[in-house]
Amino acid sequence: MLDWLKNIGKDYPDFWKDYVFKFEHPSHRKVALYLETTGINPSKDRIISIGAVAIENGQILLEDSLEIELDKKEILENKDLTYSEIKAIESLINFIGNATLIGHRIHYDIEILNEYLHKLQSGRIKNDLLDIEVMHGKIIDQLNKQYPFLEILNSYKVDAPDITTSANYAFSIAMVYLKMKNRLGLK
Amino acid sequence: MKDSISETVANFLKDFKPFSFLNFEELKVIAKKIRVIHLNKNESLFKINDSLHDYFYVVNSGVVHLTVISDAEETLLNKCYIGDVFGLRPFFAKNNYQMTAKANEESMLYAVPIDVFKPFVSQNSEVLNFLLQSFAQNSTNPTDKINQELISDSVQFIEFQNDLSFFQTLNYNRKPLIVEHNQTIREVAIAMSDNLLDNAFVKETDTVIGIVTDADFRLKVATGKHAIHSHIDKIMTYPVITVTENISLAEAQLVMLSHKVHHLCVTLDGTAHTEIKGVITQNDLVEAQANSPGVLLKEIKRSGTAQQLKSIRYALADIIQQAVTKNIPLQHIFNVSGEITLSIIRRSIEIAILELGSPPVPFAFFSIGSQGRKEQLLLTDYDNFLVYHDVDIQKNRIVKDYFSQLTKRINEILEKIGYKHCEYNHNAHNLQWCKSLSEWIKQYENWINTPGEYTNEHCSIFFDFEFVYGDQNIESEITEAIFSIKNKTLFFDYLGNDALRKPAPLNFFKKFNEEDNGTFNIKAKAIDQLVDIGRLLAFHHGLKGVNNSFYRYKELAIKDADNAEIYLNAADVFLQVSRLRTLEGLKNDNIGIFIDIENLSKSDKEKLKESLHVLKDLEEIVKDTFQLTQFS
Repeated sequence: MLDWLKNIGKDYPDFWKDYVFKFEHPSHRKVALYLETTGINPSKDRIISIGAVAIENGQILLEDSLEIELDKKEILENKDLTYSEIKAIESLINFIGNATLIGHRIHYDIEILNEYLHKLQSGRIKNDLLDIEVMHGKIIDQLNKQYPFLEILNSYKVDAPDITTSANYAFSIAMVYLKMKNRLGLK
Repeated sequence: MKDSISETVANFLKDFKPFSFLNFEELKVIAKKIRVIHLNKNESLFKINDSLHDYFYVVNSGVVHLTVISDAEETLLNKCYIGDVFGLRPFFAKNNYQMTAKANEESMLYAVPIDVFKPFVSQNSEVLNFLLQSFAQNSTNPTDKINQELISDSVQFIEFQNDLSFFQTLNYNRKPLIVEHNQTIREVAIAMSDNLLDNAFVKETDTVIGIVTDADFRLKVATGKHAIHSHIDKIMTYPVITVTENISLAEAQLVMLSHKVHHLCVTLDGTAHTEIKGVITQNDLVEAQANSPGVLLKEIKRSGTAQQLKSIRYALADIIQQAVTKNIPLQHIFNVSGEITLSIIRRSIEIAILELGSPPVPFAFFSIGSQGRKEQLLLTDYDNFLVYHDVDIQKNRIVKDYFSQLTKRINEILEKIGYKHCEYNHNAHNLQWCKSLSEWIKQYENWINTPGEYTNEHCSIFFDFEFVYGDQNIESEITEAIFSIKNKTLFFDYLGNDALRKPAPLNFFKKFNEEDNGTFNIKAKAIDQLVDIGRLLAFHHGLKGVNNSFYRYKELAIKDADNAEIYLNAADVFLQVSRLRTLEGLKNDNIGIFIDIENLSKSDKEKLKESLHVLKDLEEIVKDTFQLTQFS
C-alpha cells in the first residue's frame, strides 16, 4: 500500500535506489568508517580520502574493505564535485549498504556525507550509527567528556597504525569496536 | 586501488615464521583474505573434538593457551604469544581438533584461510618444513623453544600425555657413515675419526651387511687378531638391527634391549634392503630423556653460556609444571628445583670466574630469601650476598675491586637466565652486601643487638641463607657468630613485631582481603607471614641447619610439643598456598602473587579460607612468646 512512497524518489540516481532498496532487509553487517576531510564544516569542507572495513559475526573481514584516495589539489581547485568524487561517494554508498556504521565522532562524517548526497540529488544516510567515543564514555561511565581518537586506541591497547591512511584508521576503529562490544554486552 | 590495511597486516606477519619465508607481495595477497578475531579473557576459540575450522591462527596480541583434558584434568600444553602460529591441524589431518584453544587474556587473532595459504605451502618448501615441524614438534625440547618458537600440535604427544617422554620421536644422526665392504680397516678408522663417529655401516651392493663400532676395533684389531690393512667386513658385526624411520623412544629402547645392541640402523622401510636413513645410538635415547632432573644437572655442568643455562631453566619450568599438576608432593618438588637452581647459580659463578680469573682470596657466595629457603619454583627475584676472607688494608682495594666486578658479572648472567633483580637491591652487586667476613659478622651482630635501626631494611631475609659456592668454612663461621650472641630478646621482639605487622588475609567478615581488581595477594597476605613466623620461632628454639619453612614447622612441632598441632597444620598450609601460587604463576607466566579468587572452585576457596585461620593461632603463639610492646 505504501509502495507509492518509494516511487516519490523516481528521479533519484540509480545507486541511491539500490541503497534504499537494501534497507528492506535487516542487516548484521557492520562497517567501520573513517573519512579524512579538510575540516568539519559540512557546507564548505570536502572529503579527501575514505577508508572502510566490514565486520561480520565479530570478525573483521579484510577482503571486504574499501579504500579511496582522492586528489586533494584537484578537489580544492574545483568548486563543483569532480567526477572522481562522485564515483567515490557512489562506491562508498554501495559498500556500506544497510550496515551499521561505526566511527569516531561519526555524526560529522554523516553530516558531510549528507551534504555530498544532497548535491547528487539523493536523500540522507539512513544507517544505524555507533560512535566509539560515546561507547568509550559509557564503558568508563564518564559520558560528558571528549576522548580523542588516539587516546581511545591507547586505552584499549590497540596500536596506532604505522602507515596513517584512512583505511588503517578504519581498521583500528574496527579493532577497538571488537574490544568494546563485549564490555558493553552488545551482540 | 591502494590497500593499506593488507600492507599493515603483511608488515606484522613478515617478522614471524613461516610468513618470513614469503615475499611482501605474497604476504599482501594472504593478508587480503585474513579475518581478525577478538577473544575475551577465558573465551575459547575451539575445543577438543570441534570440527576443523577453515583457518589457522596467528596471535596478534594477547596470550592463547592450548590445553588438553587428560585424566579429567585440564593440562596446559602450550602458550602462544604474539606471532605464534597455532591450529595447523587442518593442513595435515582431517579429524577434529585434539586440543582446546582458550584466551588467557584478551586477545586479537589473525585467521588465515587455509585455502589461500595452501598454494604457498606447496610452492615453498621452507614454509612446508616449518609447518610440519610446528605440527610435529614436541614442546618438551627446551632449546627449540627458544630458537624457533614452535607450537606443538602433535597428536601422539596429546594422547600419551602421561608418558610423553616415551612416545616422542627421536632425534638421531641422519647422515651415518657408510663404507664399502672391501675398504681396509685403516681407511674406515680414519673416516670414522674424521667424522667424529663411533660407528659406520658396511654395505655391499646397496644392502647393509654389517656395522663396525669402536668396540669392534678394540676387540678385533687392537688385540692383534686382524691387521689394519685387511678388509673391513672381517671385523664387522652382523646382522644389523634395522628399524623404520619414525620409531618412538619406547620402541627403540625395547629393540635395543631385546637384541642386546647399542646401535640401530634406520632404513626406509625397516628392512636391510632399502636406503639407509640414519643411525640411533644409546646416547640418543639418553638425550631424548633429557628432561629428567638428573640429566639436567649433568647438562648444567657442561653448559658454558647464559643462553644454555636459560634453556635448562626452561626445562626445569616444564618439570615443575608437570610435577605440580600431577600431585607430586610439593616438598619433593621444592627439593629438586632447589638443587637444580643451586647448580645453575653455581655454574653461573664458575662462568664468571672463568672470565675474570681466579679470586685473590677465598670467598663464599650465599643465596638468601626464597632460594635460600629452597622454596623457589617460579622465576622470582633472586637475592644473594658475598663474603670474602679478611685481607690486609693494602690489598683491600684490589680485592674489593675484583669482587665487585665478579658479582656484577654473576648477576648479569643470572639476569640473562631470567632471574629478576631484587627490588630492594639485595644482591651481592650492591657494595653493601659484598664485604669481608669480619664486616659481615659485625653486620649480623648489629642486626641482632640493635634491631630496627635501619627501619626500612628487610634484614630478616638475611637469616635464611644458603651456601652456594666457595669456602664452606665461612658459612660455619657466620652461623657460629649468629648463634653465639647471647642476648637476642630484643631482636626476637623486633622480628615478632615485624611478623605481626603483615596485612591480614581475611577481613572482619571472614572474606578474602582482595585487591582492587578482585585478586588476592597470596604472597603478602599469607606466605610472607608464614615464612616470617617460621623463621622467628626456629631461631628462638635454636634450630640450626633447617632453612625451609616446611621443615621448620615440622621441627618446631617436635621441639615445642604444646603447640605441635598448630605447627603441623601450618606446615600443611604452607605447602597448600605455595602450590596455589605456583599453579597461578605457571599459568600466567608471572610470579603468581595475585590469585584470581573468582576462578577458584568453591571448595578450594573454603579450604583456603579455613586453612588461613592457622595464621591467627601462630600470631597468638608469637604474642605469648615475645614482648612485643617494646617496638609497637
